[in-house]
Amino acid sequence: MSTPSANPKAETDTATDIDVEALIENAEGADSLFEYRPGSSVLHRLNPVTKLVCSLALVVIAFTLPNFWGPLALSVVLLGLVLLAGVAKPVLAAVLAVGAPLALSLVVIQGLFYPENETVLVAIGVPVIDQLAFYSEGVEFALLVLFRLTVLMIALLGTIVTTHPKKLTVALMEKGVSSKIAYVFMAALQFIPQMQRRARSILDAQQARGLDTTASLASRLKSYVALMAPLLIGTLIATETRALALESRGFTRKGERTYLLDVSDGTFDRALRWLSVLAAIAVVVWRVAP
Amino acid sequence: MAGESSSITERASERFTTLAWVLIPVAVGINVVGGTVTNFLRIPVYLDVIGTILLALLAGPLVGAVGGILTNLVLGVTRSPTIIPFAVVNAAIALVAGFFAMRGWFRIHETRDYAKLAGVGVVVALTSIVISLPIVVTLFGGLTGTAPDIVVGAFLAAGFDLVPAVLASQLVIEPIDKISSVVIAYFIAKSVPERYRPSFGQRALGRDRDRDR
Repeated sequence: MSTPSANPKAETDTATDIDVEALIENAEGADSLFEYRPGSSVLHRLNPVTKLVCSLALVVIAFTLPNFWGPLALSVVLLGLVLLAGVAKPVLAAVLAVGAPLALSLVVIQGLFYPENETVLVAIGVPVIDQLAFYSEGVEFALLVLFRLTVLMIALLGTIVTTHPKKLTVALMEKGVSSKIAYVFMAALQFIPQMQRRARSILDAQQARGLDTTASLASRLKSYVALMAPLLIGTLIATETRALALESRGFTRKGERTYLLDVSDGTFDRALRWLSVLAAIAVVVWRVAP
Repeated sequence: MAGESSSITERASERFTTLAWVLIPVAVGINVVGGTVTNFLRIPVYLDVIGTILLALLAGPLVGAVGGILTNLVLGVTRSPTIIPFAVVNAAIALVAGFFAMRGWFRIHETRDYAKLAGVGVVVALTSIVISLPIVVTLFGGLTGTAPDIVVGAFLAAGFDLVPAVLASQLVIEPIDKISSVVIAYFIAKSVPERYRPSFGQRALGRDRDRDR
């Protein structure tokens, strides 16, 4: 995000309406790294709750397995599933964006300094400090953490990318999640790009009025309040209307609700849910029992 | 006993007015968008819980906690699923900040009252450290793939164990981050016209007239 702050200035020299739209699109794209990709694979057709339950079970299993081979195998299987569903590209892009820096710092720092390091894996000659040794205990620990997180990321990302948010909320409400929580989740997802856009235009406006981004830290913190307050107050004024609109549609009413969207939940879904929960329990029991 | 506890739950559900429900996504938005603004102003701290503290201050600790958890769920969906486990931290921050708000620590009358804000910031920072430490260590092996990793690495290289190393790196950053967050949240809350403040926030912040001596 540090580059865009330099870019708008360059863009305003040749400002046209198209540039503004591109700016808005960029602001939106930056924050929704992954979104729903339509498709008709098995993953797409599964009930969203099934996908969530299976993902969580896999995460539990990955975090209870003792060494990195188990999580590695799970990651490979999940990768195959994601490939079959045709959503490998966005999932892998996101996993790499988060995983690459983490992998680097894990392998380097744990490989060098992991407290239980004993066996030297590779030693590199380095000028000043003579020799730099990577230890196998540290690297194995790094790989364990890394592949556990890979399972977590691929499983959840696979779920998110193959599930339309509306379908997810309906499926959750059918399973007894309060409609208010569901509303708040959807609203937050919709709000963020909107607020991002407003924040951008407030930033631009304040900059046009002489906001100094190179001033002392104290005055920059003051500018932070000056930037966030209009954003909050503007949204608060809109919330009153929103609250009225929600009230008039029976937001606080109790009782049964019907949904426009139909989410299928068959025997296969139920079986898969039970199976994954049982598998997770089995692995945990196996690890905890001496 | 029973009557007392039911009155507590009643009071809690009273806090969840439609206005509070509508405020929750706004707070989530501020948590998320705040990062953009800190980047823009090149402020060297995260300031990613201002929305949570603000919500706890305006609508109470429980509403704040819901907002905090939701922030991490939304970020988990839009940025990276690895953020989701830290929802617990965000909720705890709201509970602490909201508790202090209830006790009137955000009613500022004189200049020296600002020390109260710093006090809240310190407690929030400690809460955040105590709760995030086990998560960072057990789930991430102590490293998160961000700048503070260098500090952790330095402490490990100096012969510290993993837990003390992570703790030391957090002790460097967290208090500054959380004290600034609390102070900024207070000022943003104060700049909200009284008419738009939920009743909890009106009580927590005190009357505007008081501020002008």
